[in-house]
Amino acid sequence: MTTVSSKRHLKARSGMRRQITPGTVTLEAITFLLAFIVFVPILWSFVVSLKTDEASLPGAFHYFLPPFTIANYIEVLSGGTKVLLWLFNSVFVAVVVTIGMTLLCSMASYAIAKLQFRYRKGIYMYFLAGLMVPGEATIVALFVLANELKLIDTYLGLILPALAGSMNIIIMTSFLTGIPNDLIEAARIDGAGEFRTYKDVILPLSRTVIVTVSIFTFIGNWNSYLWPYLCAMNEDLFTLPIGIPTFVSQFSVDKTIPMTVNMIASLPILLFFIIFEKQIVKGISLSGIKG
Amino acid sequence: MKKLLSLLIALALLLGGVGALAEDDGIVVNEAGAVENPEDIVAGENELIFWSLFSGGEGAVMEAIVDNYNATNPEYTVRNVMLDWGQYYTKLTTAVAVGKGPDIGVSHLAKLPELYDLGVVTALDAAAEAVGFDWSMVNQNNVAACTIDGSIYAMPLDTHPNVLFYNKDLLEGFLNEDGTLTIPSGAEEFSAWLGEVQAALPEGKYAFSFPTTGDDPFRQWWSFYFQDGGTPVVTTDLEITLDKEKTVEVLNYMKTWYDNGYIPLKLEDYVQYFTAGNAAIMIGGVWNTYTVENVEGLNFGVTLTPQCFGGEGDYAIWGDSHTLIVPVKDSHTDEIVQACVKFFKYASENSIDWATAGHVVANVNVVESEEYAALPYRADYKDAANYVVYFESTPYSYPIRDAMIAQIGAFFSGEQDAETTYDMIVEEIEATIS
Amino acid sequence: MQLTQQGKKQKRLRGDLIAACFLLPFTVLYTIFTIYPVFQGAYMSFFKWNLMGKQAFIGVDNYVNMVEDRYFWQALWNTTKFVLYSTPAIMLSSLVLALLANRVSPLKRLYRTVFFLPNLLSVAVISYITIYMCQPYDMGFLSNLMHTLGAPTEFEIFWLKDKHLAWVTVVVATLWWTQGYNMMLYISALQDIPDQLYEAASIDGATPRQQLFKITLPMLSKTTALILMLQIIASYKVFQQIWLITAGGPGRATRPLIQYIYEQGFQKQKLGYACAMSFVLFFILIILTLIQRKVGRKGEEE
Repeated sequence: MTTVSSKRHLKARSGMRRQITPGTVTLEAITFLLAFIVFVPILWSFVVSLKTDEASLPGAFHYFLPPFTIANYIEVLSGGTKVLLWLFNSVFVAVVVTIGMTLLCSMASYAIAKLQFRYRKGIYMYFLAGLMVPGEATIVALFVLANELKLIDTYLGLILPALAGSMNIIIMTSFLTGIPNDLIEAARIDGAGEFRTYKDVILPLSRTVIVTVSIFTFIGNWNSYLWPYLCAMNEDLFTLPIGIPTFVSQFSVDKTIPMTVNMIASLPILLFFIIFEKQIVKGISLSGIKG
Repeated sequence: MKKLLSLLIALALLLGGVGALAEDDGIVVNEAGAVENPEDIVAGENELIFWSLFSGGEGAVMEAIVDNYNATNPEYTVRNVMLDWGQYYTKLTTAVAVGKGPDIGVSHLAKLPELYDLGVVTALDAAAEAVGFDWSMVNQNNVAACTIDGSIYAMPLDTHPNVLFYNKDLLEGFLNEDGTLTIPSGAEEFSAWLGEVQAALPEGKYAFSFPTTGDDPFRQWWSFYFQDGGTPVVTTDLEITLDKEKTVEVLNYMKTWYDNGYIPLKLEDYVQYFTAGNAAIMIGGVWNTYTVENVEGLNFGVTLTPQCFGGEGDYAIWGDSHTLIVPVKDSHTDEIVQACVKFFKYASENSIDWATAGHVVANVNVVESEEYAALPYRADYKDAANYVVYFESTPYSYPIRDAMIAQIGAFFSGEQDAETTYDMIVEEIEATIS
Repeated sequence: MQLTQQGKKQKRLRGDLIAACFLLPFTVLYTIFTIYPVFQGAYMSFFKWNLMGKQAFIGVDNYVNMVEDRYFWQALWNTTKFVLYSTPAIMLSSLVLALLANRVSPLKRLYRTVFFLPNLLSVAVISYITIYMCQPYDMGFLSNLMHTLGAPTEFEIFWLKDKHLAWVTVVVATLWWTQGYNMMLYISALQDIPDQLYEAASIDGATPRQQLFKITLPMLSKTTALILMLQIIASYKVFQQIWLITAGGPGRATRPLIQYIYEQGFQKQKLGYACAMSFVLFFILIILTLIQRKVGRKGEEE
């Protein structure tokens, strides 16, 4: 009795059936086809960047044919274009915002979740209110304000407003509330001050939520367009989303150099994702939808 | 997580290092930690920032001019920063308003009154006198157009009308003995000619590479409208005198080109379409000369756009003029403004280089020189500059133009008829001016 | 140790101070850059305001003009159109991709990675790729593909220039770019569904199809509700990809509200008017967010 049903149990435990049926094959084929379709634009962009422009290429498909060359890459990377600077700016701003956000939000969330003080509920409601304020709807006023504070066209101007969103607080607070109090009590009894507790107990325990929140903050900031567009006047301050359109607008006929720039801009983050994919996905799955 | 963060930091540092290496002008970009204010990074000692809206061929030529200027070891060097031309004026006015504008800028002649109105431009008279800039060497029409309230606010660099490019190989049989092309005058005649060309072309090719929306249909309409004797769109007294009958007449005429199949519909990249050898003619700005002549294997010529309306002496075309300006900036001393004008002087005197970008330069000495006459193609159309009809001087030229481009584009896309187009244009202009 | 009244008060004060230290950095930034602009914007909307500064108090004129402004309503409707077109498409596609990518397969990790990849690209990159792929007359990938597969040479699809197709282009580009994010959320929700449910169902003889509709989808309903609201709210804020792909064109056919706000504010220098319009957007988003919180809370109670 048990043998048969336990065998079936084992099979089903993998989540879905393991048998290879025609249905499975079809689904696999469909999935593969979809993945191919999703990937093709990226692949095509890549091969375009590998050809130097012959303005009389009869059609877009011809880019898939050899010969290929990396001449464009050499030209862009060595020619004193601003692309690497913009890449640096994007990475720099995103990293600073991510680290800053992690620190600021985890501290504030810890206070709300675990510390005893008056107005705890009130402050939380105050932060909650901010969720309803979308950056895009206040961008004009923000510009005027930033101008008064002399933040326009500065790195601080790019960074500070990006730190001011309360979404991560809400996420982290709900996570931190779930941390058992005994650990904190233990630390307090050991004589640790609040900061020590925060640093040695809370931060390590919140690793997963911090990773998740960090990753989405980084990606969100990486793609941020509207505010940097308004704030950065000087081309030395451009981030990639702002700089690339200005660069490619110079090329009315040649398409290969712009594609090269697009590739240069994208490869670092694509590699980053592929390397850290496991952690990223794990982070999402552990606290994604709960937030 | 620590590992993740440290890797992120390492990546940032690495890219920072590479980014710093890519900086070839000795300016240090911050690497990790100290955030330097980019305004300090931007302007080096005695360096003037020049925001240019030139792209493609023009961009390369302007960059060469700037480099050549810097090579003469002036007291103030110029740094050329290329901006996306579509958003140029918005960026410029916003930057000037917050005190972060450049030292040198570009203004189209049509935009100048608006910039003056916004308080963005500096008067150049005093500085010009101090550096010995002789205004008489510049085309006087252009100079007059740059003069507002008795002071000169910009230095004209060129005039750039639209011209007609033709593919000699595709037009075999239509060319003159000497290989040039003579376009017939008159609306019917020109259309008939297009028909003949279309019939003679192999399948898949079109007679005329031209877009359906955007600036160029508007510019061609402008040319024909004024050939037809049209009155100004808006006068300097802000009166709308756009002629309905003539507007409609020209629009309907131009539509026949599309309807008869001489033009590929909804074409956007019409320059590439022409350079790829798919069309017999193309109408576009003179600045395309640089791009087109650098395409290998393209056997082409340039001539003036057709006269389809009016009679002898009525020839008119759309065109605009690039000028150099000194945007208002708190930190500008007399010395700095003079340094800017010195660059203007150089650019004007050496504008034979600018002519390689295809423009008809504003410096009369250069235009009349032998060197200029020897330039291929450019000598063929240098007279076009004399027939350009400009906007009347109001601060609203650009919004008016935008409204017209939008409505005319909608017309050629088949969304509305010509009368409605006229009415919508007038409505939008009224809303703008009020 | 019993604390005296005094002691308790001191302890509480100390507690407050420590909490304040933890809270202060974020709260300061938040107040300045998130909360204050709301009030500043409200204030500005009653003025004629350009880049040089406040010009004149005009009361509710901005709002009156806005109601009469045909282009405002057009832009608002365009944004709404985008929400209506893109939301079902993205929800459906991310769900389908999640289901497919979560299957048992040797390529499972590959699928997940590939579907998510576009989300990492910058908006500038995906916009340029989209524009270039959609060029007609064989200059673009799609046109060339079509003709290679046998379409007649004169036949062209104007992905970017046709009033209606432009929407298709924008929505599909957005889908390609962002579906990976929702897909990831769905995948993590899928992995939360206990295996026992499926086991029990298989033992009872349920087909995979029945399992899908009777177990998987119902278990995902809470996630779906959440993602739906987030997607709608995010879509109302659309700007960057439309700006870079069609610039609101052809003509103004795809111009969303935020682009119109930007143009009025920074190109026409009517900052006060731009703020008034921003407030309409703000109210819409508040209402949507409130609905989302309510739905979310309701979902938690279940």
